[in-house]
Amino acid sequence: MKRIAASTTVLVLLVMMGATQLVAKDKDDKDKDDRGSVNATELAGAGVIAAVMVGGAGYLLLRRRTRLSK
Amino acid sequence: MKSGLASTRPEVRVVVGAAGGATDQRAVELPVLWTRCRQEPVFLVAVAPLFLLSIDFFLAPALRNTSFFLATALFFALVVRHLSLQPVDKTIDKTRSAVSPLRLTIFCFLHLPLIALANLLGSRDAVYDPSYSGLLLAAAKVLVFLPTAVLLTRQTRQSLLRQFRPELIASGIALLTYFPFRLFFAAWSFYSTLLAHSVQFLAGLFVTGLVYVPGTSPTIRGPVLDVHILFGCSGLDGMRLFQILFFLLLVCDWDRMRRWRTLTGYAAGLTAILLANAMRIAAMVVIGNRISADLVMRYHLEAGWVYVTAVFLLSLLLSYRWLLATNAEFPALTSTPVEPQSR
Repeated sequence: MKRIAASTTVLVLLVMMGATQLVAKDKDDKDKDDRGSVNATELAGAGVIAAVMVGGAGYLLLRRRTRLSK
Repeated sequence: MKSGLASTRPEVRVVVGAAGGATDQRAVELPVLWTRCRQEPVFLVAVAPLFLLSIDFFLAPALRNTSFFLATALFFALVVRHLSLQPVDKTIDKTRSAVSPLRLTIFCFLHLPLIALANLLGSRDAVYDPSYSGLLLAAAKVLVFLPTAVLLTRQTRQSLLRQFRPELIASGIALLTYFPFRLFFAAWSFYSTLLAHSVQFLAGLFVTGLVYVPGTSPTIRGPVLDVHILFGCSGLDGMRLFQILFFLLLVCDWDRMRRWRTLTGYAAGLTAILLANAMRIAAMVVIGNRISADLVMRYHLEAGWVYVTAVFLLSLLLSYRWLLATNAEFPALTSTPVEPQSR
């Protein structure tokens, strides 16, 4: 249980870091090229993916806890 | 063999649908499940449109629709879940699972008017078009499912409707309600006003001197910070997040969920997300005018996702047990194992 929670948390953090880095890199590139700021759609997409992963991990933990406590 | 493997029959290998202590009593083994899936005409209902619609999307890009893929995936997953746990309905007509060439031809021809309609009405801005042509295109995106009915005989259709009614209803709701961009866009002039007034009321409890400035993007003018309510603040992305997570919940717990409570929970969850969105913007107005405007401007996008995820988890924490049925209420959980069919 703890192992699953720990690995899920690490995975989620890695994905969030990766997504943030990608968005930040994209933003920097666009700023350097003077082509405007990061696309709102890209930012929303990265946000949804990260939030889905965190929400999904939270749900799976809750599900497991509920089953174990039965 | 690792834990979770059944040991009662020599041919049994892997158990599907593992769910707590009832696993060994009700789950169906993978080979049996595969046999069942192949025999079920219901898979034709999902596979045939998926195949032909891929061609449709190529020929008429305006028909492309994320809701379709999500609804089909949800239907697949729920049917597999159903078949892995429930006894097969013996009255179902399995003799007609092979499609006659005539039915297949009619099915293909019925797609042609939809492709023509989509190419006629489709444009880059069609999704923003509130006129009849935009609505027709939106209808065409949903109607692409209908020709599938001709693939099945009347008897098969009836038995499918009888056996998989909850799965069909769930995927139908997903098809019609997932990410309702067009609805939000059409209702934005009304909804933005309602949202801005709600925000002004909520934030007005903590900040004095707030002024509502009407417009396409209404503004809440404060003593320190003015907050513009754009279409992106409508809560649509929060709804999408809630829907994706709720569909995950459906797939994982379909066999244990109380159907009506699930529907109620879905509607209540969507409403809660919209209310929480109004509270989120109100909190931004309060923090921006009372604590730090810079903090709000710098982090409001990222904080929005954390907030929406927290709202989902909190609502799930409060309602999860309520959504689930107990073993006594669900006979399938305590029923005897289903005998494997002939292979």
